[in-house]
Amino acid sequence: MNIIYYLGTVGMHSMLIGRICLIGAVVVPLVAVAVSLVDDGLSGRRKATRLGWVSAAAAIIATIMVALNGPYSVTLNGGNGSPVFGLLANQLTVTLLVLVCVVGALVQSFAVRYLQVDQVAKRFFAATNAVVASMAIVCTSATALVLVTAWVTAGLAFVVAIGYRSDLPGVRASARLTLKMFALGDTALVVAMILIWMQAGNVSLLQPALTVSVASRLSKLSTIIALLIVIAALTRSAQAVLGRWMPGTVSAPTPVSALLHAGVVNGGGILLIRFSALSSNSVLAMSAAFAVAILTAIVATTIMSKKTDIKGSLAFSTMGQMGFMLAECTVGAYIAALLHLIGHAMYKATMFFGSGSQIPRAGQVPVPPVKRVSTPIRLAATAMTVAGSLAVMVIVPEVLTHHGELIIMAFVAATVAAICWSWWGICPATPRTIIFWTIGMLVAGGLYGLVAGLLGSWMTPALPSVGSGVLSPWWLLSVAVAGIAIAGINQVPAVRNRLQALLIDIGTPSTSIMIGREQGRIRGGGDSLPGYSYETPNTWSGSAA
Amino acid sequence: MKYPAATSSTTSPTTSNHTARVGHMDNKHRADSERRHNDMSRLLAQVEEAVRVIAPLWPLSTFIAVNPLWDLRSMSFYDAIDYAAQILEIRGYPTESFFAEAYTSGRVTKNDIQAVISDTDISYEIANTIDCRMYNHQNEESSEVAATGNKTLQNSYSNDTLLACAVDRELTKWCAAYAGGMLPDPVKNGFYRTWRNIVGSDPTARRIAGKEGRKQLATMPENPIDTISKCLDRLSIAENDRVRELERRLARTLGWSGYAKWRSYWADNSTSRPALTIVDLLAVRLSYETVLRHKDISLPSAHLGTLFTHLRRKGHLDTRGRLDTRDRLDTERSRPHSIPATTLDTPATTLKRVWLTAYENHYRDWLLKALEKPLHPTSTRPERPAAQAIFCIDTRSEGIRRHLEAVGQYETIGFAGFFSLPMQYLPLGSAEYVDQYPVLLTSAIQVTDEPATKAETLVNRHITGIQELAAASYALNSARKGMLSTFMLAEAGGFFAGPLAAAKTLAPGYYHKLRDWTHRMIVPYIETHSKYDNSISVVEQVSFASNLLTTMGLTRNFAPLVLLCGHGSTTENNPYASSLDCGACGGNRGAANARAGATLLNQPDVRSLLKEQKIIIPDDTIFIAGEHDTATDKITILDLHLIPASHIDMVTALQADLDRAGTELATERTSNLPGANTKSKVALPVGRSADWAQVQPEWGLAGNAAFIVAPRELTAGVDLGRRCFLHSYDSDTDDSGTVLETILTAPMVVAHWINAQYYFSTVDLEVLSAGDKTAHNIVAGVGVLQGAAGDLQVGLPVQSVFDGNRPFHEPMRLLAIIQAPQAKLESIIARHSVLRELFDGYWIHLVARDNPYDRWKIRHPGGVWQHWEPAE
Repeated sequence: MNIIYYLGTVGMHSMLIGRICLIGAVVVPLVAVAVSLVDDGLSGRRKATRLGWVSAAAAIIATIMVALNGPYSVTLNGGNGSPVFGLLANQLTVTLLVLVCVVGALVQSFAVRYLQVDQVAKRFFAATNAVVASMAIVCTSATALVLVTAWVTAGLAFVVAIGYRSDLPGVRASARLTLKMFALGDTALVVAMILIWMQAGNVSLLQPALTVSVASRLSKLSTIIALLIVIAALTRSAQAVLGRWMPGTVSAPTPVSALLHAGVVNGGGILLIRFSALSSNSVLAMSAAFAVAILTAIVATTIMSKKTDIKGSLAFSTMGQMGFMLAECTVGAYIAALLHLIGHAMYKATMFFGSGSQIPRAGQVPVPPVKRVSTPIRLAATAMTVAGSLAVMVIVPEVLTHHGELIIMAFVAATVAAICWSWWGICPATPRTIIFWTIGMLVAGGLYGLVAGLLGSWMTPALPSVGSGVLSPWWLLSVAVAGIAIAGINQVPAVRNRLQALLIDIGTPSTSIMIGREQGRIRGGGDSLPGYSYETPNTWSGSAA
Repeated sequence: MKYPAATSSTTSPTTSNHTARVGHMDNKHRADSERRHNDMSRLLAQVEEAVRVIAPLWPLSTFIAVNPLWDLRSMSFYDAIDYAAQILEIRGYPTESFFAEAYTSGRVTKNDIQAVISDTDISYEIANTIDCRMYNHQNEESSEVAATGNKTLQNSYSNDTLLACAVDRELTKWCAAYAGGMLPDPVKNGFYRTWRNIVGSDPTARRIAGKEGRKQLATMPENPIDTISKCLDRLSIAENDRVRELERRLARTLGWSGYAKWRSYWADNSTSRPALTIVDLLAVRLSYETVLRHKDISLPSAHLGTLFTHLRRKGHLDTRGRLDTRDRLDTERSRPHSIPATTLDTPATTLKRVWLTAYENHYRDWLLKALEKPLHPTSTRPERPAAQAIFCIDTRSEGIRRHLEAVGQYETIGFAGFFSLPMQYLPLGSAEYVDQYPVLLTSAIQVTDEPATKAETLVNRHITGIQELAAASYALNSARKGMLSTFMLAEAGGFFAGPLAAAKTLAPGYYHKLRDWTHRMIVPYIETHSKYDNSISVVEQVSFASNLLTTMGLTRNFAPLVLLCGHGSTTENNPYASSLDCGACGGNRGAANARAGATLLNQPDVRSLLKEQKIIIPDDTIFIAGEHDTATDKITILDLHLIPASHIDMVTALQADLDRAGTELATERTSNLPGANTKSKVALPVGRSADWAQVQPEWGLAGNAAFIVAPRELTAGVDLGRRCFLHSYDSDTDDSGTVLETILTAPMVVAHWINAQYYFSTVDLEVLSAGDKTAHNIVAGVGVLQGAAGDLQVGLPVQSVFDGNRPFHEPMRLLAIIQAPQAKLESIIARHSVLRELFDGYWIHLVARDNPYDRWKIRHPGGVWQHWEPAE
């Protein structure tokens, strides 16, 4: 090899703290991997968790440095001056970095107590930190090669996290399936990377414009590369058949699911946005991705509404949410997708953490209110709250300046309408309720608008340009059309029956997982009876001697 | 009030729907229909017999600890285990390595074993074997494991087993959907008919049964009992094999069968829970089997790979520890060489019986010795204590009673925590009554909360607040399921939920305070008092009151304050929260009963009528209600607004002492709470209670071992380690024996259920325990799955009985220690078949003595009494 490595000198003097924190946020989780493997027991887990928070703090400081001084990077450059390895800190990457590191630290803080008697929890802590470290690199990598390597590592580390309690029913089957599916998706990405390498070498992600010019050199292969990247993104984000691995993962302990749904499954969106220059120019790839994603959004969400187990319902919900998020990516609404990716991560982690709270205790059903609102007033109140919330949101500057935001507002309106409509259906109509509710919704809308506006305008400068292959944002409305269509055909009894049976059936894991979860509990017993018997592998030591 | 006899043979609502239609037939078919009717009732009887092997499973909103083999109690403990082992494949005893470790640590000694053997007909040789089996257990168990593994690998799975697995998947799929309200059943057709309506559209049915087969499924007879009968015929199961075959089918989905059993036999008729009955369940399962019987159920090879991996692993069920302690025992220290090793072929069960009994007797000897102390010098007790406090018989009350007695002149009494009030309780603003009584009883009274304040606005705000919270959760839930709203809800909701999740994880205590404060803002606290239903006359109230006082033996020498103290447990994010609440209150918190009891006993007209029964409550005595939060050990005195000014100072002093006692008990408990050995506040009892990441907020009743029926003098001053149910009882004031009869047939049976639940969940982690809490997945709001799919889990989670890979609960049968005359006991036992079954069938050990000056005597089955001699 004739490449000479030397330390990059790009403005090293001015932002030392930022660089150290950027490296720290990525490296500290690796230290935590070692700590949790070496120090078996509670103290090791506590140390790993503390390191997790150190890494989160480093990520936050790195973010502050970006806010103060603008983007910076740490790179190891090759002979021709282009980076070989490196980390990039800009408004986009550090935001994702903070998300990954904070989620990782929070999951560990939760797990320290939740898994306190788990004998092999060190494997979980090691795997979690490995996932965090590799996802941190995926978020911040300065070159395509490093990103792809970290991506594959993140997938492998996550498979270890799923399978760390192989004694639990269904866990092995699920880990194996996940590995298989990830292997498929990651192979696609690795092949894409090889193709890119052959054409253009190690693509630098430091400057979006530069990346675009590199991408233009891929002319012949660009469609194939884009398709391969899309396959990788769809697999990691559990879309359609490529997402077969997702429902079984709830067999693993709760913190694994929280990590998955907040820090791993959204990798597809991160990949599409960071590789925007390589993927978004192909109309074919974008259309295919959109079709798969939007179909998953529709189907998985419908299945979710029929799932009666809480974790299964959350898993299908995530598939749907990721479908929506990827669809936003394919229409170029990157800010909307990022907001969704971040908001959903926090939402789903919370839902999984709290998934044990779903048993209602006796005596909690309240008496129905004496006075309810009439239907016209219910309609009017809903409409006014929708209008009010939207208005409050729009007042926040810059909410509507991004690609596709207008469509998102339609979804916001539908959400506010759904909440209000249900609320006024069973809530008592007292002046106090009306006032507090209306103010509450407006405040919530305003706050959300504020968060969305701020995050959006913060990340905008670092966004890659949207390629020529993206679809029109109006396509997102097909979710709405489908929702209305499904509600419509549900009115036909014959169709409803079929649909219901179908949804319940798809939502239930296959027999293999069921057998897996039996874990030797194939019951039956005694003597074989004429005509019919279950086989009995009777193995209990001493119980039936 | 009389308790009804404790028995599960309640009327059978399973079949009422289905048999009703038999009857209006043409005359010429009368003979036919009569024969058919007989067939049906015979089949129903067979179903009822088959269902004995299944334990009812209550919805988790009110977890009820049950003896999983309760309906097999007519057999002995040992026979029931053997029987259930064949059907359910349960493990009925602790492993040999468990006993080996107990032996090594001195928890059970050679003398204990010899004492047991001398009581039995086991020969000396076998006794010797027991010792060497202990030392050889390691090799033996691993060879057993190896043999199993080989056998499993050699046999390929037959079509029948694969068929059973496929049916399991279909059945649990439909059960979960039906119980979760996802199958439309507007006219309450029941599970079977609803399934029959929809199965014709099921893709999997089409795939495994073919188009024809699916049609057959959808055209099974409309009446489930007809279906069962038809399918049993088609499967050519002989009449004599029917019960056994039905049992095995029910056993395949132990959890849903248990739920169906609860729904069929135990649920209140007015329950709104989905009608998933035993007959329905069997009809669906047998339909699938009948149709699929000749089909080739082949699974793709990859799937078979999964299957075999798991079966291979089955031999290593314990490699992750849990019950198995092989690793730790793999040291020379556990192998004294003084005992000769012989190898006799002794049945493993016999050995385990001996070991279990010796293990139990060791504790019995320790306990009886601990109780041997100079009689409590009654002279030092004050003539009139500052207060009397009545606690539930729950084992956790022992701790608080011990500490409370240590901090002041208090007398404590143990009594079933529902205070003899089998009441349905309606909290203020609630639309549903809560059954606040043991599940063995039926309700007799209704009690509601009545606002004490006349300020209507405040009351309205309280009720409106509850309605608003319900509406908010309903609105969010609807939006979560809506196609158009779910995406933005998750996104926007995340930005609100994320910071809250961080707060809940990093500062659960503060978050809890914030949440309580917010809750109080929306639902302002208002003072209420318990109001008895108008249909309960004063005379009836008096009978409840006198029953309450006489059963607990508090009929004279009333202190100025009498605290009725219920208990409940405040925990976060805990599907098994109700398993920590008061079992005597039907798995609910006990405050309502304490309040209702205090209200009852403070009523002047009740008191004046009690005087006629020679129960004279002084005018300066007031009854107050309290609740012991067993997660934090805080005791809150309730309804302070009802306390007269004259007693306020006394109550304040009492509250201070309760706080001191509670703090000390919490400190005592900290020593063995998992992960509490740090400086971190969140690991201490108060912190754990508010922590949503805590899977072991408290130990509940783990460790429970004995049920002591005696005056407090017997146990006062002895640290019983929160392991004993303490029921106060004074034989001298109970000439007729009715009080003792009540205690034996109700509270003791409840204690036995709890004890047996903890026992079996500890010894059988695979079948009779709910498995690992960290992977629990709540389904349909009624129970949990382990992982992504499958059967409902039964019993207690591992975390309730295990500390890491070591059992925290010591699996032992209940030891009843009763201070009462032998003759009285025998006559009561003779009158109640359930007691004969329990005492004669080795389900409960009984030790008794006539009076404090007597020696303890052990009752052997059949009524043979023998003086207690501790093994040296």
